[in-house]
Amino acid sequence: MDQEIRSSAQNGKLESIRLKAISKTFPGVRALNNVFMEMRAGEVISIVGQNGAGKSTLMDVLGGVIQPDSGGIFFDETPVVFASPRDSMQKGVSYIHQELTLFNNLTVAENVMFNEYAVANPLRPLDRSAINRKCAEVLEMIEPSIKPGDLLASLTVGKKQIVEICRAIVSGASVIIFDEPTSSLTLKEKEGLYDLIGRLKRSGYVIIYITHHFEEIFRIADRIYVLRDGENAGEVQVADTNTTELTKLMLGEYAARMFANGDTGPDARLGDDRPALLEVRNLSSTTGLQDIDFTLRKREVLGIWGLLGSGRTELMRALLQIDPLTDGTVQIDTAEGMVPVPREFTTHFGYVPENRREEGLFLDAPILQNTSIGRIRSFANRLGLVNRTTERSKVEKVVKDLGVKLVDIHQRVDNLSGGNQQKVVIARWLIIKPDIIILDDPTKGLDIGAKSDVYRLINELVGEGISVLLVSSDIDEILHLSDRVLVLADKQVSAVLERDQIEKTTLMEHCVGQR
Amino acid sequence: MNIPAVHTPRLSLSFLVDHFFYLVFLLVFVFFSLASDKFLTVSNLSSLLLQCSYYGVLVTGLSFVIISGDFDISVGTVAYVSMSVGMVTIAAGYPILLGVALTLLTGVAIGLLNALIIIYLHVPAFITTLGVLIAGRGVGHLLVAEQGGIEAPVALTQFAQFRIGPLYLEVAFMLLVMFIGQFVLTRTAFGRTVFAIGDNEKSARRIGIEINKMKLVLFTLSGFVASLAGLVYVTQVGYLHASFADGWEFTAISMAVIGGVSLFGGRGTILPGALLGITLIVMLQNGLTIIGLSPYIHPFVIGSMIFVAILADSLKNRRN
Ligand SMILES: Nc1ncnc2c1ncn2[C@@H]1O[C@H](COP(=O)(O)OP(=O)(O)OP(=O)(O)O)[C@@H](O)[C@H]1O
Ligand SMILES: [Mg+2]
Repeated sequence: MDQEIRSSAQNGKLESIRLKAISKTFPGVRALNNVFMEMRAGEVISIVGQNGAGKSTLMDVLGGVIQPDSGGIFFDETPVVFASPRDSMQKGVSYIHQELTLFNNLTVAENVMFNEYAVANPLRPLDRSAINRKCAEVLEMIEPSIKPGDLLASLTVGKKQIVEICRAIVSGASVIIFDEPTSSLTLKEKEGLYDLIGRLKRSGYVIIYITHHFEEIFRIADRIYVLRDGENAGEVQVADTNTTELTKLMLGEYAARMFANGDTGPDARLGDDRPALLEVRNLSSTTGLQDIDFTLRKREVLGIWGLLGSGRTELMRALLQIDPLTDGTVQIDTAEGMVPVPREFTTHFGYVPENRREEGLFLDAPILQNTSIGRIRSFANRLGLVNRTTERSKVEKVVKDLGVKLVDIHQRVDNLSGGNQQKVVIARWLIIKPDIIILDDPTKGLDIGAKSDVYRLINELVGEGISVLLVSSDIDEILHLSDRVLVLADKQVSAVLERDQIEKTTLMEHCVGQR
Repeated sequence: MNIPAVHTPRLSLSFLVDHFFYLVFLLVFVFFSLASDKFLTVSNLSSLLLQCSYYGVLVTGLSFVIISGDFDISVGTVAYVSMSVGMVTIAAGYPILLGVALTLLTGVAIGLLNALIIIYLHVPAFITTLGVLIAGRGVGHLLVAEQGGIEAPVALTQFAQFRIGPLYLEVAFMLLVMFIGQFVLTRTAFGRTVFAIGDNEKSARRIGIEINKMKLVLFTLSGFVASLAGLVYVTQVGYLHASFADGWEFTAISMAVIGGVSLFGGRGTILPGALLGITLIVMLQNGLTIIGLSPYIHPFVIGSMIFVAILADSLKNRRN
């Protein structure tokens, strides 16, 4: 089973990489300051740090995406300079981004061999059988259930990721960087990825793994580098550390204590027998939802739990009338009693979608506009004229409450780190406080400090009378925050759990479906 | 959380890309001023601005559409057809005001038609307006071709004569329209929404912006403004003929893009951006004529300019 994973394209064996005194400044931000790091073959290095600590920037340097202002990169003690991603690739560095960079309309083999036939020699006629044969060799080592001729679009996200790893190996990678790779994987796919990373490590690859999930680090990493505000904040062996120490290194002594004291569970809240706010009856949709029935009460967090593909996101989209309903009713309690939810859903709902870059942000626009656009009309007078003073002061207040790390609110949102971008999407709804906020995986990509900020915020919102529909793929988050949980399986409701029934085992039992 | 603030002002590639256009504008201006003593005169500059005036109106409407991430290439035809309707009315002896009103109304109607096809038949805007561009010209020909063209009444052409000092009334009108456009674009909720749609339509939907409503308004507006530009133009040429406003769409789009309105949507200004883009192109046409370069070379020079502008735009887009 534990066959060595090798590729003929690999030129020689890389023993070590050293990053020396790397600094990088963006206008207004020192993203990296004298950062040092060393990685050796056959080792999984994890880099941790708060949102905006500089993890992605450092990897962009190693991947040739950006050039450092100063500092050097050494491969086996030889200095190298990466002027472009291509340079870095040729030295064997492969960067697996959170968003996959594959072509859905090509076959697996065409994707895996892309650099070979399309980039290296674009004019050579395509020898399909050779490509398929070569690809099959790699797939044989890694994941035989994927066939070279499969169309990429037909694969699950997890398998696509494996295809991307295969492509890295075929193009001769000896260093593979993963930036938050598990965020859209199912539990089983995650296990598969951990296994594969283990095998890559034993085959002598250098693995760099960026994540905010501590349990993943303890599961697969050997050594951890901590970054804080663009500087080295510690280096520890996984075997000698624990969550508390890591938190302290990441956040600093003081902030870590604040974090530990924060009470964020639903029990901290008051009041029961809350009246119904939203009633969903027999809802079916074109996206396959069947006969969904549930009630959301005032001032509660209703967790929506289910496996990937169970219909969680589809349910949210149906509620917002993004996908059409085929049957059923959605009614909301207003001053005039229960009425159907109007087409203009933002009168009652705020929505934080699961993929912020595609569906949440306006990347060309500054933080200010991104935040205020959620209810821009509330800043405008009858003629539609925006009052820029109130706009600015309100936006400044919410981004500060959320602790968005920024230079100023006129900064383009595209330049924020991933976690801070997520905070901006959430901030949008804090300005207007709708009746119901739908959060689809709201802490995806957030560091633990930011996560607890969001948890605290959710509680504050509920305290102010807002109801929350919380979708999450993080079971602990559901356990921690929900007053009640709606469990979905196969696009149907499989259980509604009350507070005292919410336990990990029950959640797991119900979500596999009892068919 | 404290962030070390540092300032790094330096002449980098991105600075050049961002300000490239201003440099070119300045260079062209200085070049013509030195190359001919007929260029830098009050009368030449004021007639140059007069030539800008109908483009200024046209590009204002179009900029809204482009910033929202769409295209309207029917604007030249809209100006032609709506003018035809108005002129035929006036030629038949009806009051001039009625003719003007019908012109504007026709502009609105064609814009609305564009919008409805795009929204309800789900035809991409580019294709829809291309269809209207071609078919509409035929309709215009039917209306004016019999007469072989229609003379504009003096009541209209006199507008091109009024001046406030060296400034023509129509230039002032253009500036007013552009000012209103820029104001609406940046200071109103509507304008912000236009930017949002052009930046990321999906995100815009998720926050409840009704894209279809916006498209309806934008294309109707563009049609209305195109007919308005037709009116400004007819006062200057005094004659409605078969090639009236022919090719406006691409000139206007180029002007907007040269002035920094992004072809990809989500970025751009009417003032100063689009205005400078318009002035640059008109200045090139004007200056090249004055220095006596063969008119066959003009399209080449202007085409190259457009190419460079679009290149700069995609460079900016790639940087992100
Ligand atoms: N192109 C850029 N222009 C300006 N600032 C930038 C740019 N890219 C990153 N930054 C800034 O550099 C800092 C480091 O960002 P980076 O993306 O490396 O953080 P990160 O550790 O990956 O965070 P996260 O966990 O949120 O992904 C942030 O303050 C960010 O705003
Ligand atoms: Mg990052």
